[in-house]
Amino acid sequence: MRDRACASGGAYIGLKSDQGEPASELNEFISESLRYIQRLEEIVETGGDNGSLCGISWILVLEQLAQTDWQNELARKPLIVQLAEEQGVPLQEIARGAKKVLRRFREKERVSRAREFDKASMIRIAQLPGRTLAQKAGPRQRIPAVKRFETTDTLENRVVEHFCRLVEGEYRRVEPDTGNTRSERKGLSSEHNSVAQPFAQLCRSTRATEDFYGVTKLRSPCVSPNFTLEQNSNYRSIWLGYKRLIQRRSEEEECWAWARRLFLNRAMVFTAELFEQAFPEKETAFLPYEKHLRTWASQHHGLWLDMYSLPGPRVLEAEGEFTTVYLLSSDDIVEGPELLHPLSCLNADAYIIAAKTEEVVISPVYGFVGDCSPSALSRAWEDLQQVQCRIRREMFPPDSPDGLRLQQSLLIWADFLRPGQSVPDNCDEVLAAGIPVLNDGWVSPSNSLTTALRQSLLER
Amino acid sequence: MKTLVIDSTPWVTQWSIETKEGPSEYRKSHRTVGRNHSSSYEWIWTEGNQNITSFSDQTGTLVDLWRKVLSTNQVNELLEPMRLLVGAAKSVIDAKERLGQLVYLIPENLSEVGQNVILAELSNQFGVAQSEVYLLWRPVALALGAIRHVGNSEAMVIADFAHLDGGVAELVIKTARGLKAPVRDFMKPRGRGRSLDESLDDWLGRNYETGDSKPEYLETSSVVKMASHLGADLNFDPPLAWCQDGLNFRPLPPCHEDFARPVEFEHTVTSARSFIESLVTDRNVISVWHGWPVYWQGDEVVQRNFGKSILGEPQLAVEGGVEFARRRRLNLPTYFEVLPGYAIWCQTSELGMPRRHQWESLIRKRVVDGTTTVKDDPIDRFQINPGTLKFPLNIRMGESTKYRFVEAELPSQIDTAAPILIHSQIRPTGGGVKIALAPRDEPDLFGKNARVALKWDQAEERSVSAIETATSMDHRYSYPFIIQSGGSYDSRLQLENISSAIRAGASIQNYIGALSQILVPTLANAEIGVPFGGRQVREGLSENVQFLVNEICRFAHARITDDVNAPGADWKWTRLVSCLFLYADEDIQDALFDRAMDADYPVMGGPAAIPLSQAFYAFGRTCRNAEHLERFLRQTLAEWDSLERAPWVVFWPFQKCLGNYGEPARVPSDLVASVMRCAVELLDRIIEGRLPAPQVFGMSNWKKWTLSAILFGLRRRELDSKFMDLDSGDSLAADVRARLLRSEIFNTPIPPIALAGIEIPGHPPTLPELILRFLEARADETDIAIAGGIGLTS
Repeated sequence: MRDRACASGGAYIGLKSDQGEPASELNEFISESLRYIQRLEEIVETGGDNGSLCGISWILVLEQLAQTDWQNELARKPLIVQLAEEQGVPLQEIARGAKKVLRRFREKERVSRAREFDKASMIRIAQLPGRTLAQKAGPRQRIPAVKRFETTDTLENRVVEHFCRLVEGEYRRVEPDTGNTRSERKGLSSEHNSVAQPFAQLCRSTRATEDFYGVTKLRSPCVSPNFTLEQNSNYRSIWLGYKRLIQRRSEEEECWAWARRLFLNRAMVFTAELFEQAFPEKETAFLPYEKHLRTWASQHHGLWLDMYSLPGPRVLEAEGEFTTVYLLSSDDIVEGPELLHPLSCLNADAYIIAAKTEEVVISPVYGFVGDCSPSALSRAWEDLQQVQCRIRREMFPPDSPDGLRLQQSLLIWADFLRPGQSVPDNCDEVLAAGIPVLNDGWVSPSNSLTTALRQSLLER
Repeated sequence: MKTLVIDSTPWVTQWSIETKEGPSEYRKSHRTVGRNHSSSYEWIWTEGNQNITSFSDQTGTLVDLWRKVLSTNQVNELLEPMRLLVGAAKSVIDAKERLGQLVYLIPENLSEVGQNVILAELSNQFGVAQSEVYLLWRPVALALGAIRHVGNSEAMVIADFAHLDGGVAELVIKTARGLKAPVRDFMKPRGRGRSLDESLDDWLGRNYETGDSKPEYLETSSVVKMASHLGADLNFDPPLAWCQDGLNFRPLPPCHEDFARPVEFEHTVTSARSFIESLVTDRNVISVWHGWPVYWQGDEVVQRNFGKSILGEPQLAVEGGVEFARRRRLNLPTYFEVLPGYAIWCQTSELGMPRRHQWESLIRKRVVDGTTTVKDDPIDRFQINPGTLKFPLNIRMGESTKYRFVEAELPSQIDTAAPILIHSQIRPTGGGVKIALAPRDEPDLFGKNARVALKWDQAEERSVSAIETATSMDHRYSYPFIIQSGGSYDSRLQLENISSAIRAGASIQNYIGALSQILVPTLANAEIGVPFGGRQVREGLSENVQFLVNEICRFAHARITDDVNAPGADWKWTRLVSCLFLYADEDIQDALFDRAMDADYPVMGGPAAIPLSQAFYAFGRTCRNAEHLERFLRQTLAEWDSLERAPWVVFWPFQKCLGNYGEPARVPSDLVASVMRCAVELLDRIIEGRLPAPQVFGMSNWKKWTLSAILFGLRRRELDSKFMDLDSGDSLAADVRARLLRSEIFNTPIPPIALAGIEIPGHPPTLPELILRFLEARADETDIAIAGGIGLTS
C-alpha cells in the first residue's frame, strides 16, 4: 500500500485507494464507514414518521444505532442485489439481441450489386477511364459504391458493456469470501448472493456474446445519454443502474480523498451521544428548542451529516444558577453571535459550550484519523496539548473581557485496533476517546468521559 | 363532497371537514412559528420548540405573516407571505382524503390582491380547483356560526377580537327560502377594536414583570404557550416563562400566585363600543363577541354592557365556515353581499357640450348571493377613439378614492372609431372584479392578445383625485364627438305621420316646409332637440323614418339633375336634405354626393350664382363623411384662384364637416393647411376690403364661416398634436394669429344661437378670441362648450 497519509490537520488528507490490497486498514476504514452511513440513512429513512418535523430525533437515532446488530448484514439491500432485481430482466432482453445500426462505407462493388451512391462515389465513377459503365467497371466489373453493414458498436451498447463490467467489479467486492473474517463482514448473505451471483454471471455472459464482442470499451464513464438510453425501456433501465454504479464508485473515491470528514460522520454522532449523556433531557430545567438529526442524500466531500443539526441546547439549574449548554458545529459558530466568533481560531470540528451568567466555557471537539504509522496518534495527541496551552494563554486568558474560558479539548480518534498501539490518557488539556474502525458493536462514550466533560464545563 | 374549513389566525389554526354526514371534530394547532434554513429548503412549522440550526434559522410567525399580508396590496410582496401562510396551514392539517371544496376564512381588510393570491395558493397547495375555493369573511363566518341564536334580530354587530386587528362590522339579517342569512355591505363603515397583539402584550404585562418594554425578548415557545392557553382555557396558573439573555436563558416567573389575570374589559371594547353607539339604526340588533380578550369576561359582563349579545366559543368562526359549507352543499342561501358597483373612466360627449371625463357604471350596486359569480352582459356602448395607440383602462370600485389602472397598447394606431364590448365578472371575495375589453367588429383590434383585461389584483392603484385633476387640465384642444339624441316625442310622432302619408302616395314636395320645421335646428328648437338634426341616433331610425329619410334624399338627387340650371327653382329642400343626409342609407349618400360633385357646383359661377350657392349651402353641410370632404376640398382648392365670386364655398363645408361629424378630423394635414392658407387669404381680402360683389349670397356671414372653419380646422390636432403649434414656430399658425388680432377681424361676435344654454362668466369672447384660445392651447371648459355650440348651430 502506498501510504501517503499525513496527520489530520486539514480536511483533505489525500489517501489513495488501493484496490490491490483489499484487506488494508484504510480500505477497511472506508468500507466500514460507508457501512455505518448506510445504517444511519436507513434509520433516517424509516424514522421519518416519528412526529418530528425536520429530521429525526437524536435520542431515537442513538437508540437504534445502539440496537443495531453490526455483526450481520444490514437491513437495506446491497446495491448489487438491487441492480439484479431491477436491471436483470432488461439486461436479459438486451443480451437476447442488442440494438444494431446500419453504418455506411464506400467500397468497390459489382456493377450488378451496387445499390447506393453518394456524391463522392459519383465523382469517382466519373473520373474512372472509359465511356460506358462497363468500361469504367474495368475487367473486374466493379465500381465505387456505398455499402452498408450492421454493427452493435453504439453508445448504448458501450454503456451496457461498461455496466456489465462495473457489476462484475461490484460483485467481486461483495462476493462472499472465505478465510478472511474482515472480508466476510461486507460479503453478501447467502440469500442475497443467490440473487446477485446469477446476475453477475449474466453480465459476464452478456459481455461474451457476439453482439458485445466488438463493442468499444468506454475509457471513462458516459455522462450524457443518447436518445436510446433515454427512451428505450430496456436501455433506460440499464442507464439508471449504470448511473447508480458510477455514483457509488465516485462516492468511494471521494471518501478516500476526504477520509477525516468521513470519520466526522461517526465522531459527531459520538459527540452528540456524549452530550446527551452528560446533559440528559430529563435533568434539564428547560429545553429552549430541539434540533433533530438530518443527513444529506449524498455526501458533501465525505460528509453525510448536516453539521447544523447537532442536538439543541439544554438549560440546567444548579443552586439557583442557570446554565445553558450547547453543542455547536463550526458552521454554527460562524453564523452565531459575535461573542462566539473568536472560537474560529480553535479550528475545531465542534464545540461544547456552557453559557453561564458571567462566563462562557468552551470545550472544542476534534476528530482525528491517523495514518498507518503507530506513532501518528501520539504525535497528534502531543501537538494538541501544546497548541491548546498556547491558545488558551494567548486567546483566552483568565481575565478575558468577553468571559470566554477554554476548557479541555475532546479528541475523538479513529481506532484502527493495531496491536500494541499506545492509547492516550485523559489529561488536563485533552480528553480522548477512540472509536474502533470496525463496527463490531456500538461504542458509546464511557461514563468516565461523560463525567469528565460535565465537570470540565460545569464545575470549574 | 368533503369541504375543508380553515380558520387561520395569528396564534392558532383551526379546521374541520364538512361532509354530508356532518362536520368532523373541530381541530386546532398552535404551530405558529415557522423556521427555514438554506440547508433544509423548506419551512417547518412548530410551536416554537424546534429549530433547524442554532443561530441561522430564518424565522417567521403567523403574526408576522398576517401583518405583512394585511399591510400591502402589491402582488410581489404578497406572494411569499401567502405561500407560507397557506403552507403553515397545510403542514398542520392532515387532510389525506380528496377534498371537493375548501373554505378559508379571511379578515375584512384583506385586499383583493391578497384574495387572488391566497386563492391561487390554496388551490395549489391543497389540490382543489380554484373555482371550488371559497374565501369567507370572518364576520360573515361568525354571523353564520351564531345565526341559530339571533332570534328575531334584524341585524348583527360582529366584534371579532380573535384576529390581528379587532374588527367590528354590522351585518343585516335577511331571510331567504326560510333561512336566515347575513348581508354584508362592503361599503358600510367598519369599526376597529383592540388588536390581538396589544391584548397579548397587555396580558403578559399583567401577569409577568416584563417592565416597560414589550415582551419581545420572551422566548418564542413561551409566547406560543401563553397564546395557546389564552385561546382555550382561561382559568390557568400562568406558567414559568423564559427569556433569552445572550446565550443564556433565564426564567421569568409570574408576578403573582393567582390564576392568570385577564386584560381589562373596558380597554378592550372601548373602540367597539363607540362604533356600536355610532350606528344609527332602528333595527333590532344583536351583538356577537369573539376572541379571548372578551371571552374571559363571560356572558354576564358582555350582556350588561351591550344588551342582547352572544359570546362566541373559540371555534365559532370554524362553525360558521362549516355552516357555510353545509348550505353551499345543499344549495341553500349562504350569505348575501352588496356589490359596491364598478365604473370605468371614459370620455363622454355630446354636441354642444364639452367632452367630459367621468366614471361610467359597468356593474351596478346590488345585492348578490355571496357565492355567485356575477357576470354581466357585455356592454357595447363604448368605442376606442381614432388615433389611439395606447390607452388606459381605469376601473373604480364604488365611491372609492382609489382606482385600478392598466395601460394597453394596440398593434397599430387606429384611424377609425373601434366599437368595443366590455365584459365584466366578479365573485365576492374572489379577488375583485375582472374587466375585459373585446373588439366588437374587428377581431384583430388588440392583436394577438384578442382582448385587454384588467384583473383587479394585478392592476396598478392610483388616486382618483389625480386622474380627475389631470384630465380636467387636458384641454389643449378637445372637441365633442359622439352625439346621441332621441329628440322630442312629438317631433318623432309627426315624422312618423308624414312618413305614413308619403308611403300612402303623398308628394314629398308638399311636406318640405313641415319637415324643415321639425328637423332643421333653429335658435328656437336647438335646445329641446330636433329628432336627429345633425346628431347620432342612439338606436337607429325606425323603419318608417328611415324610409322617409331615404325618400327625401332620393327626391333631392332628382332635383339636382332636374333643377340645377333652372333659375328661380325652389331650393328650400336643400337645407332639409343637409340635415338628413347623414341618416340616409350609405349608397344613397354616395349617390347624392356624387351627383352634387358631378354637377360641378363648387366651381360654378356666373349668373346662376345665387341658386347654386344655395345648393352649396345645402350640400356643404352634407360633407360629414371624411372621404367626401377630402374629395370636395381637393376639387375646390384646385380651383381656388378662380373662386372670385364665392370663395366661402371652401369654408362652409369644411366648418360643418369638422364641427359635426363624430370622429377626429381625418382630413390630411396638408389639406387642412391649404384651407387655412385660403382662410388667411380671405381674411386678408376682408381686411383690405377686396371683396366680390355685395349681392353674393351669404356675404354677411363670410367672416364668421371662415373663422369657424379655422376653429374646427384645429381639430386636426386630435390626430396630429403638433399641427399648427405656435410654440414650435409654425408659420401658418403665426399668420392666422396675426390676422385674428386685426381689429377688422377681432371684433367678430359669436352668433347668439351658439351661446344659447351655456353659462359664461362675464362677457362672452369674440369668435377670433375664442379661436386664439384654442390656437394658443389655453381653452377651458367654457370655451369648449362655446365651440360645441357653434358646431351645433351654425
